[in-house]
Amino acid sequence: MALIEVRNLVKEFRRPVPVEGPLKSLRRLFRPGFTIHRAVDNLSFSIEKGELVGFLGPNGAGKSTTIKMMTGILMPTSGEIFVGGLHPARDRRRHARQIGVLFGQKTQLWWDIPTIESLRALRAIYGVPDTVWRKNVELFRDLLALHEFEQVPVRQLSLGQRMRADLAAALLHDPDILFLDEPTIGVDVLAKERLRTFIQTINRERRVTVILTTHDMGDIEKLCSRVLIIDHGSLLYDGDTETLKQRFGGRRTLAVYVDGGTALRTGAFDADWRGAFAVDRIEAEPNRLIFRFDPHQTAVGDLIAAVAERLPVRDLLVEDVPIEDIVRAIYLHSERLEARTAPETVSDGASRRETG
Amino acid sequence: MEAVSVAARRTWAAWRAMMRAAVLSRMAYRADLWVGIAGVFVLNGATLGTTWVLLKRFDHLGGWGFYDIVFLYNLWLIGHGLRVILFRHVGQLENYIIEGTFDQFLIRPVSPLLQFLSREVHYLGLGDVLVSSTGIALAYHHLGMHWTAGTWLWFFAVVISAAAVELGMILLLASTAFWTGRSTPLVNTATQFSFGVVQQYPIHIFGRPLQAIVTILLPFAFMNYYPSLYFLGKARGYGILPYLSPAVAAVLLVLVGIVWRRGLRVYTSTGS
Repeated sequence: MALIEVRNLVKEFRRPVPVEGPLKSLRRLFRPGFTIHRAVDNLSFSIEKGELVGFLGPNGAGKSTTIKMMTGILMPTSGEIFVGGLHPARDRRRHARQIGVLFGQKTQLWWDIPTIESLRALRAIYGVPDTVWRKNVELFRDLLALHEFEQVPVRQLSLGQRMRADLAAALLHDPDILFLDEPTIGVDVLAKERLRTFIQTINRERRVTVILTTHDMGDIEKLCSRVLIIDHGSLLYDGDTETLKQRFGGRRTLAVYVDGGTALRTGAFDADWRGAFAVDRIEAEPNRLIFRFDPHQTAVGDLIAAVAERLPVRDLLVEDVPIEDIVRAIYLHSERLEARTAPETVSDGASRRETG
Repeated sequence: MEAVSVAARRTWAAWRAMMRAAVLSRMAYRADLWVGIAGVFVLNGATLGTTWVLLKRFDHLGGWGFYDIVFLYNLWLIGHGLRVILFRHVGQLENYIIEGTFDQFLIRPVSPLLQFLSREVHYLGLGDVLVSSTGIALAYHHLGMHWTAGTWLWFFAVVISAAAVELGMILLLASTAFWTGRSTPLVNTATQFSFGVVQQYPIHIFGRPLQAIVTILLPFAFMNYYPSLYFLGKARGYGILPYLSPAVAAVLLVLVGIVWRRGLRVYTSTGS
């Protein structure tokens, strides 16, 4: 059996039906209606020891719910989870010893005391032997520069420092598995780099299995050899990151704002033009055109100049392809595979799917 | 046996470490200490002052003199104060759940209840204990009490029970947050019967329904009224009620254990 086995995992939440009109809170009390919301829908996967796996997906896709079930905070509605042979919610205490958890949105540390004091409290909570504790704290000072802020109360730390402190806390008891729920959220570029390097080191040198969720394609590219993409609680993609990148990612978008309608303007960019500038899709929105291109083949400046030749450009914006687009591309792709239809084609003016 | 004692020692060490973290957290706001203690003196002085004015007019309140009331009030206050020092935050379980702090109790190898209980300490209770000790001493002196060692022992048992009754009741009410997501209004309403009724009045001056409420449904009267009957020599006619406080406390704490366990199961399946 793999280190983590997830089979047909389902998690449903009951949500009260909104009641409108006068005295709504009173009426809700007497007529409590519920709708069932399926946050995780028949998820199956397994993770081997030593892997570094990324969960990717838009907000509300079910990533955090899945992590909460793997860490034992939530009980599955149905299906099975085994982590290191244990059932996370049922074998809570034994399971807690084998995992470390970081929630990017919420610190696990005592808010008002210095990090080092939190680490002392956790030493007793996990029963970490003194020698191990000292060795680990030394390591964290080395790799996370913990000494720079270990005497400062957590509430006064910068977000990047707080993440480093939380990482140290999650790893203090030498867990086999590390769960990181959005470990780089809101962290600046330099701090992000430092966190990524540390996570990589822990994974390679200590053979800690790492499962992380993120919105940040950079986290996936730099860290994860394997990625699982989730949307609406189901698995859309499970495979290595390289393939994903080649197929769907690594693209930028150039949004060009023009005065007057855009409807007829896509005609100005024919297949030859697209080929020359490595543009694989153009979307037309009421007041802007969005070009998706491969930045490794075309310099942004060249593309801008070429577009400006053909259009009266008022403003422009260059961005990474948003995660929603990648998810959508995979979604469309998987539908196509199921339908066994023709291979991928370039699409114009496809409407953006709203994700929530 | 060995395994049990190892587990017990680990839990003890974990509790001590969590309490240390809680105390250090509180010390980060040291100015609170003096302001808090001073505030307690003013607050309790004002409450007792009102009672004194009341008694100046009527001389007696349901057959109880001023120092009887002083004893009653301060027995409540000393139990309350002890509860506040260690467990002031238990009524705010709802916030722990909403803010997500509760989740971290579930991913650590120590009982979530123990982690919750040892999460915070509060200075305010220190002031309560100081004030009430003085009050008890005053009443003891003016009522010409002469307790044996056994009576003192019973007194301390009653004080601990008073703290435990309050803790148990508030924790029970707060635990409804596991089901409803919201328990603060319930806790605040219920504790009105403690702060507004039981605290400073001998409850026999109220009607039967109210007496029944604070005896059976929300048994706050076991914090001070019933045990006071014994210490003030008024126990006759009350059967075993004046001696029941430790038992009531024990029953409440067992109930807490049961409700907490169920609530945890509901929480992990709804995540509300």
